[in-house]
Amino acid sequence: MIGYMLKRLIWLPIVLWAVSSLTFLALRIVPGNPIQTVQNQVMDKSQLAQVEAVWGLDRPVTEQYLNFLSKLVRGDLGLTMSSGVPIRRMIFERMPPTIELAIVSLVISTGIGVLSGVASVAVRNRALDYSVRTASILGLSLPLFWVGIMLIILFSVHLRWTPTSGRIGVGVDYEVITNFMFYDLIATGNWEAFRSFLRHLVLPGVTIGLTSAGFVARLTRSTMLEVMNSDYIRTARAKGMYERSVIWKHAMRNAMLPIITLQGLQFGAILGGAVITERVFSYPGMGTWLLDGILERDYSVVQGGIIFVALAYVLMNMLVDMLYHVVDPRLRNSTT
Amino acid sequence: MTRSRILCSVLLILLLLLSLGTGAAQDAQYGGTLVFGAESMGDSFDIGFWHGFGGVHVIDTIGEGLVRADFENGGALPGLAESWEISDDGLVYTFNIREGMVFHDGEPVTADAIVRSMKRPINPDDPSYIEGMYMYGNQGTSNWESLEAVDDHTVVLTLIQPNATQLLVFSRPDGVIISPKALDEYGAEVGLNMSAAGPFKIDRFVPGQEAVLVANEDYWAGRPYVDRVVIRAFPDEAAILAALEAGEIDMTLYAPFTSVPRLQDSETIRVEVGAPLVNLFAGANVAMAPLDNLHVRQAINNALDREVLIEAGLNGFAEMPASLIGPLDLGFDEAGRDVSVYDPDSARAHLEASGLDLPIPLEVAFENNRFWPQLAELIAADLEAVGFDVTLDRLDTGSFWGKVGDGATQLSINQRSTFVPDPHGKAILMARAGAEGSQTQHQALGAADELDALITAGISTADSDERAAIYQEFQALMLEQMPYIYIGYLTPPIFVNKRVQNVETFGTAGGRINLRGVWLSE
Amino acid sequence: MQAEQNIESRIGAYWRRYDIALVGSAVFAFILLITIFASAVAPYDPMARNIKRLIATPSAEYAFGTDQLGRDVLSRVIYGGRPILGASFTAVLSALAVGAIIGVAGGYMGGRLDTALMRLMDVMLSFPSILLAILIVATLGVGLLNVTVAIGFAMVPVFARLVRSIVISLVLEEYVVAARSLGASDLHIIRKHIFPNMMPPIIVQASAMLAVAIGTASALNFIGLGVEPGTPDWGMMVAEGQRLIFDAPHVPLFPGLIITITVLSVNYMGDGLRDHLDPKLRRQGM
Repeated sequence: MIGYMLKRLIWLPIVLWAVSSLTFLALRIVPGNPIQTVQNQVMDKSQLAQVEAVWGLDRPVTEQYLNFLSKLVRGDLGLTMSSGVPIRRMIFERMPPTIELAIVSLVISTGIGVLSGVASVAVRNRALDYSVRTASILGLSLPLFWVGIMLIILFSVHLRWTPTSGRIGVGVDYEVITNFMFYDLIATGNWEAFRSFLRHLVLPGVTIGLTSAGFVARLTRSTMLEVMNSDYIRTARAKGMYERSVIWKHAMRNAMLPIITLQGLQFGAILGGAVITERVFSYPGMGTWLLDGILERDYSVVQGGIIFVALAYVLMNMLVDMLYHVVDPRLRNSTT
Repeated sequence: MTRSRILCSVLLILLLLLSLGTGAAQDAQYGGTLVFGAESMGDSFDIGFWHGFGGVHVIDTIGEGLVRADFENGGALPGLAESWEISDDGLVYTFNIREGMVFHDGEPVTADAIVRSMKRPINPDDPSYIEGMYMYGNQGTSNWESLEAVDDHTVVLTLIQPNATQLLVFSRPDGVIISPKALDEYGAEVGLNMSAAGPFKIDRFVPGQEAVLVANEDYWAGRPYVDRVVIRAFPDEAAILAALEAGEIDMTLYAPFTSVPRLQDSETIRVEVGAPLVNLFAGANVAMAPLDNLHVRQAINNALDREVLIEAGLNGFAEMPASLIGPLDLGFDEAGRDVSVYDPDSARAHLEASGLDLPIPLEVAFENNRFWPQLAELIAADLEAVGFDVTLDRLDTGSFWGKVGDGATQLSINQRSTFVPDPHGKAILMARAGAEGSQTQHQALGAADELDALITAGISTADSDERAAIYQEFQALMLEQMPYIYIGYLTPPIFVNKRVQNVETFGTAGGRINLRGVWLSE
Repeated sequence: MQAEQNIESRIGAYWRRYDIALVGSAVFAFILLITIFASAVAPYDPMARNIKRLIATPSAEYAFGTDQLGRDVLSRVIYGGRPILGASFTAVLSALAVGAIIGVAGGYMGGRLDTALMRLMDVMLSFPSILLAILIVATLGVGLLNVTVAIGFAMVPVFARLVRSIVISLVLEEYVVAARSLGASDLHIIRKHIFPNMMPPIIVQASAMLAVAIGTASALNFIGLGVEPGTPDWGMMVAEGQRLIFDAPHVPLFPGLIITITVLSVNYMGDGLRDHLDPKLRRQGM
């Protein structure tokens, strides 16, 4: 297994190189450049040229690319073009909130998804089965910006249970250490801030959680059905095994593998792809940052941000593979 | 007799109530937290860069330049300089710096500190110097002969050529004076640790998310009323409305206009109307067919039914247009109101006269946010009604400016805000130097040099009556050549919680909020 | 007599097994018909503005009310299925086709080709799909075709991985091994043994991905990178109407409802089709 992991690790830099090169290329093809975007603020052509030279945009693309790669190898991600802030500082600001959002929504989607999936299989009731299936498809099809704003209207505007937006309450004092509030606020014992933080995380977490719960429920249902119709379970049943034990011990264990895979993929998708949810809840994550970077053509933001998202994705995939080996004893001895 | 006595007493009571009411309303209170909803929040407040309007709001709230802008009456108000003299030839500016002021970090505001901060963009040896701080370009540094601190409280600026806008550009966000200690200590990262001398100071800053500002007890004009200002980013319009209704934000410019009728009846929210400081227009690329044909541009001008555009596209929040210069600007010419009019017959006649085959294909470019798509649709309908075949070109911000900069758009709709109350801010759109990157590509205009000469004359003339005459001539020429077609002057709704009092509606309308005098009733 | 009863009971059994799938198919057929014959069904021109009746609530004159430019929401809903359904179906089907080729090639051939293809898919997957779609539309410009390309492109790795995993498990099945050892050609094996067994899970995945495609199309419109403004399109209507949710909820509500109904009906149809095609499930009458 260690050998397998090492093999995967060798692929890591290659995948990262491919992702960053593709990003670089895509950004050079997209019309517009970062300087033109702020052009409505700057009128003088000579100044424009000067700024372009500073960012190296006047150089041939191949030279820009080599320059970018050599800096990347040295771990230098540069400054954001629009604000002149170091990219690593922005990653520190933007990555932790998104990871926290991803964790919370995965917990929510796994909980709701698995429970409703199991319920639809275990309770032999067509009405329940159909409503779970319907709800899970609804989760897939409803636009996120729609679900998000509905939740805001209900829970924030009418019931006033949760705040509409942001990461923590206005005027709450706290100390930033790692910028992971799950750690910082507990480490400093700042429970008031922690409560405020959780209250802010609920709605965006539920918004993403509900939509991916649909995936999880469908997957749980189909794999469990498959297992329960398999020969060995039928044998087990015939031998008088309890239904509860069939569902939780056998069917569930088999359903866990695809669920872990799915959730691993989902985690990666949320890291850079929670664009809509982050936007609706004014949540300061990677998604909105990258979206703004793309729309404003801030090359260094997009290039730097995507590499981190890709890195997190690949690492998450490896983690999933490791979990596979833990969960499925059959794989433990093989090296695939 | 009884009747008139009753009337008298009623009137008296009314008068009494009225005076009680206004008396109560005028008693400004100190304290409270005001939350402002912005459309975005910068990643830094380095004034050398553009961080969107959220960043501008923060810089305007914490910063102070040599002077401040008077958006209501035009001209400059005292800022860090309590007074100034300009030599008769318009070349030497002597600023008398107020005594006893300190920056947020406690450093004294001296003439040396001011000169140091102002020279930041032209002094590569400064530890805070960053290559490519393009926003400083607005400060006119290339026209500075010398800038010196004569003594602790006197700064003398000598120009190479007279510049009538030089004084007012010091009121821009990029004219804010930064503490020398902060420049030394944080160097290139000073934008994350701004220390200025404005009415509020930064307490906490989460890049891209929010800035928490607290009242500056040492502000030269006295501490502002509000204890704390939080400026938070809300990229989604519906979300900003939700936050406003939930009472989480007290003030914003960025809620959808369509909500105004309902909010006007709301118990908690009030809508104020901003001054007409933002000019909405369509720029015609005169270097490309069919807009190189003056008749076509005039046809577009007469084809636009502004009343409908303003009513349906902007929910009524605009004044009828006149020209490139705004109604509050020096030298504004009313005559333009009779030129920028809807007259479909005249539009058709112009198309006839253009000699082109109908329908004329035309691409209309616009940004994919705010009211632009809605406005573009209405404009397209007006144009098609007189004989154009319109293709709508909906672009994201980057693509829009990219395409404009490459001179690849035909008709493009956008706006010009008033950053300083001076006509030059709008006239400069027609400067010859920037023509190749502009939406009108006016290097191809026959009158390009004539317009450029007027712009140069406009800034190099000191006397304001003479300047007014120059800008009137400029407007007349613009309406004759029609590189821009005017849609209206935006009078944006300013959404506030009813507890917010004394809202400044002038600078705010142009995107430059001023929270010095705002207070909260409770 | 007995035969009749037999038929009746068979229809009854069929109905009991596929009730919701049949209802789904009927609803979807209805939506498709209305979409295709929009011009005959719609009460108004979807582009016609009534400036005097901006964001009017539903009434006898305008059953679904009017939008922010005074256009009839009902007519726009009737016309609005064409672009989004066209784009979503095309995107899913093309992504499925490309993904299936990659997946079969990798899964069946194995070895270096498989590794290379899967790493390529990894690269594509590690790029958040919504950002990928945004980048593609920003590059190509807004418009239906570009939206289709953007959505489809991001879905290719999903199908490729799914197909590959199915193919790998099938390749080890006894009958495939047997066919191979008997010297059957690869093409023959793929066509006869792999393809039919691949279909059931793929149909389910494809109908779920259709929901995702419609969601992505709406999201692109929400960001302002969808179809041309003014186009009657469900995604565009929901996205543009979202800002009106407080003031004129009917504007985004009706297109949102129709999206949901369409996606539901397609998915029930897909589930039924899967049950019908899957030999294992058919045997068990599940």
